[in-house]
Amino acid sequence: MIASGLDRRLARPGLVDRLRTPAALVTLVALAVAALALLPPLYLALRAAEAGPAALAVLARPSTWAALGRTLALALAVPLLSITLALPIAWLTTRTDLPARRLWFTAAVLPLAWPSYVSAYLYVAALGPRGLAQQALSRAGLFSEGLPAIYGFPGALLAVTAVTYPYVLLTVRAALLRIDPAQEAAARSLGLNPWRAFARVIWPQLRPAIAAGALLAAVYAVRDFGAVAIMRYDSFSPVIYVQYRSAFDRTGAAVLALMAAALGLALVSAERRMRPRGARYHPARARVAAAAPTLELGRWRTPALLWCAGVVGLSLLLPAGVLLWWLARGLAAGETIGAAALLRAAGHSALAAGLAAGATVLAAAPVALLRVRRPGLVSRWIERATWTGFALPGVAVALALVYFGIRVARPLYQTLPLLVLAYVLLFLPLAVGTSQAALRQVHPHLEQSARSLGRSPWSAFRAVTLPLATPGIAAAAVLVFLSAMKELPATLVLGPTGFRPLSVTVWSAVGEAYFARAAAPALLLVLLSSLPAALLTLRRTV
Amino acid sequence: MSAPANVQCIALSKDYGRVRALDDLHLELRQGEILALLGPSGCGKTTTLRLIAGLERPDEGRVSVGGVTMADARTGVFVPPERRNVGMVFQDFALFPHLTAAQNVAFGLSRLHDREARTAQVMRMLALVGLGGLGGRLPHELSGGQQQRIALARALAPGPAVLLLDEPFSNLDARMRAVVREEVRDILAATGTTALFVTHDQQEALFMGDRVAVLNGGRLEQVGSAEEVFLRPASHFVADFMGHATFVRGVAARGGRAVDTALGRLEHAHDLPEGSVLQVLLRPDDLRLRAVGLDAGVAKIDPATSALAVVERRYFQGMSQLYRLRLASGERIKALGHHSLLLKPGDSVGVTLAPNHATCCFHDGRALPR
Repeated sequence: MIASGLDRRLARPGLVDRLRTPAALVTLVALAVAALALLPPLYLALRAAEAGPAALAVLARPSTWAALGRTLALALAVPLLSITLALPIAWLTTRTDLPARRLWFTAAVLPLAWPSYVSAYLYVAALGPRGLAQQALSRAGLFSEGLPAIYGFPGALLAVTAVTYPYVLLTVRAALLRIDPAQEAAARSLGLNPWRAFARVIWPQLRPAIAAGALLAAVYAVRDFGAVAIMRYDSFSPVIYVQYRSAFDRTGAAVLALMAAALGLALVSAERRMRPRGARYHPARARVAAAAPTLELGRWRTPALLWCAGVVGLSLLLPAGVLLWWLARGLAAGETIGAAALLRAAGHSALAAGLAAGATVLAAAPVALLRVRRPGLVSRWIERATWTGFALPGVAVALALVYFGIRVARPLYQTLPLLVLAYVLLFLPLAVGTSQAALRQVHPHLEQSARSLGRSPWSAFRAVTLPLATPGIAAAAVLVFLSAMKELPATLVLGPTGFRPLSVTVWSAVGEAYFARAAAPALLLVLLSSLPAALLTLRRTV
Repeated sequence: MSAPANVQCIALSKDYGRVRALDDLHLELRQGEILALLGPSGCGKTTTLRLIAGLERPDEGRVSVGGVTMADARTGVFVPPERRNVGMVFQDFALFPHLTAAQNVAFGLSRLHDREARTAQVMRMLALVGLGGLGGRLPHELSGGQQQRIALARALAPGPAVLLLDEPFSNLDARMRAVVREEVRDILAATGTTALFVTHDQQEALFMGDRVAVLNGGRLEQVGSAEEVFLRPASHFVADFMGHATFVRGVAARGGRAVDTALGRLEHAHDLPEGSVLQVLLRPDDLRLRAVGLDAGVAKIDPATSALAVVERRYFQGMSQLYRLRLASGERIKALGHHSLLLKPGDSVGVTLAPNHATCCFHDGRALPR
């Protein structure tokens, strides 16, 4: 009797109890976030379906297939060129006695942080008609009839690859560092020369990493708006934007956006399948540093250095030099955007990006928590739903939210909250991934210890998991903040009237060919975005 | 009113998907005893621990601690881990990396609102594990053995009804393990703690456990005192798992009183038909070796009590020599020899069965009753 009385007091059995558990609450919130993430593709589909035959007519237009062809061409060429540029650098900076290896690596990764439209603008300013190169050559009496045109495919390929090859570099380098150097030594001891050891031992293990990095580059190429628009290359994103903005062809825009979304989703799911399925929990433990056998480059040293210098020069030094040149020239001629205007633009950027960072991290937390603590079918599909933001072009997400704003949430249309929602959807995968990594550092044993020491689930989470995961979650917030500052298409489409953040300031100045006026805000964006990239590379190399 | 502070597992079962991790387990922990739960990996021992701690729900059966039902699959009763008063020490220690040693130990004392009482208890616990001066260190500033002791102090601080230890020494190197487990044994004895201790190492189980329970494939094979389990294994599996076991073929003799082996006839009661095949457990110390010189003949070996064997290998173990021998029947056995007895591979040796205890015979994997 006594025992059963105690039973009743101690235990709360039944369904009600289970619904009251934190796990149930977290699952419900995560489901809501997933539903929100699926809103853009669903809304685009709805909009296209409403149009009925008109939507089919869009599919029949040759221009639609031309846009698809151009997008696919870019999505194929960018990864190939990225691999060509990145693979030698990854190998040289991990396995050889290349001088200043870490410096080369950091410099080669930095372009990752550059907004693609800033790179594109600088390449046009350098290599375009009446660009710096043309001016210099004309003065020397060469190419007086003009350089080969940069606009179109070559320019788009150059500008997009310059900011995407670091993805391949990072994934391949990480894979190289994971491969036990002893394997190479073992292959050598079994009679293979360095090249054959690479081909038979290292290369097979690198292939998944190369594929993953290449797919990331391909996704970037499909989604990019700013660089291809500046290079006047009519892939999906700029075509959708033009149809929406100038032609007011909403059906055409929706159908094209849906096609772009499908392409992006296919690439992203392929990329995710490439990821290694490793241990679920990686305790924060210093890697046991096994000294990699460094290959002596010998007479290959000069070609290796030239290769690194060429890639870094083209992707980092050339744009940076042009940027500083225009900044200096603008300052001298008084053409630059004023300090007050720059400050106001930075304020707009910081406001929207700050709200986006907070909202995105809050939305990502339940998804990440569920994925880490309750791995399974439900949490996997919830996480997959949040990938939409990564797969869909910014233009497509923005367009879906425009329809949503006009039809459903009229008061939100052309307000900051709707723009922030777009940012949340676009950067949710980033925040989910980073928060997950942070939470995986906290082994469940820690929480279980806290439980067995008398703490409730929430109390255990607050006292143990949260403090340990906070640095990682803060990193997620910073990443979202900087990504939102750089974001262009959604900001152009959804920004409230009079909202002119740094990205829009650069864009409109470039659009009107005021290269000097674009320089200051572009420099600010580049400096701000380079911070986490620099931190990231430092952390990865240590 | 005073319920005995012990743990009862009644008909406990747990499935992970289609895998039955634990099958109909009955296990009882007496007040103040240390029970070692021993078995190969995947045998269900950690599952048992997690069911008692409340980190898993049983699919069938019941868990009670101190006479109070903590989980019952039939009625749906389930007390969450924080209200079970069950302490746990994890294999990886699970120390909170952001808290100092003292803060780790104080973690479970939040119900003690009196700050002084809390500090006093932390001090007492740190002193108990011999780390009085190191309360201010962070976990990564402590050695493996020290982390282990802080984990123990943290689990003991709230005065749990029972302490669960999940392979607590497997993260320590061999020398450290020997030292730490002796200390832990002393601390548990000094505090009179009831403890359930999971290990896959039979030496550790024999050293730590007042009683030893052997699990295999989710089922309990045997539970008993360390000596009982070692000397009178209930099954072929237990005999084998407890180590140093070799088996020779035995044949049930007529009359139900003896078993014939390659080493002669053994007195052992049985109720098997004549000619039934048995396995006879031989541990190295059950055998006497006698050098057979060149001049000595086979005649000196009495086939009723001894056999002639050929030395295959010699392993020097310091205080003794361990020999691997091949009998004329082709069976291989291991036998201890005095460290002065030096035989080379290929030498012949006389082997006499001289157990100082009754031998164990197994039929169909189960021990014959005695």
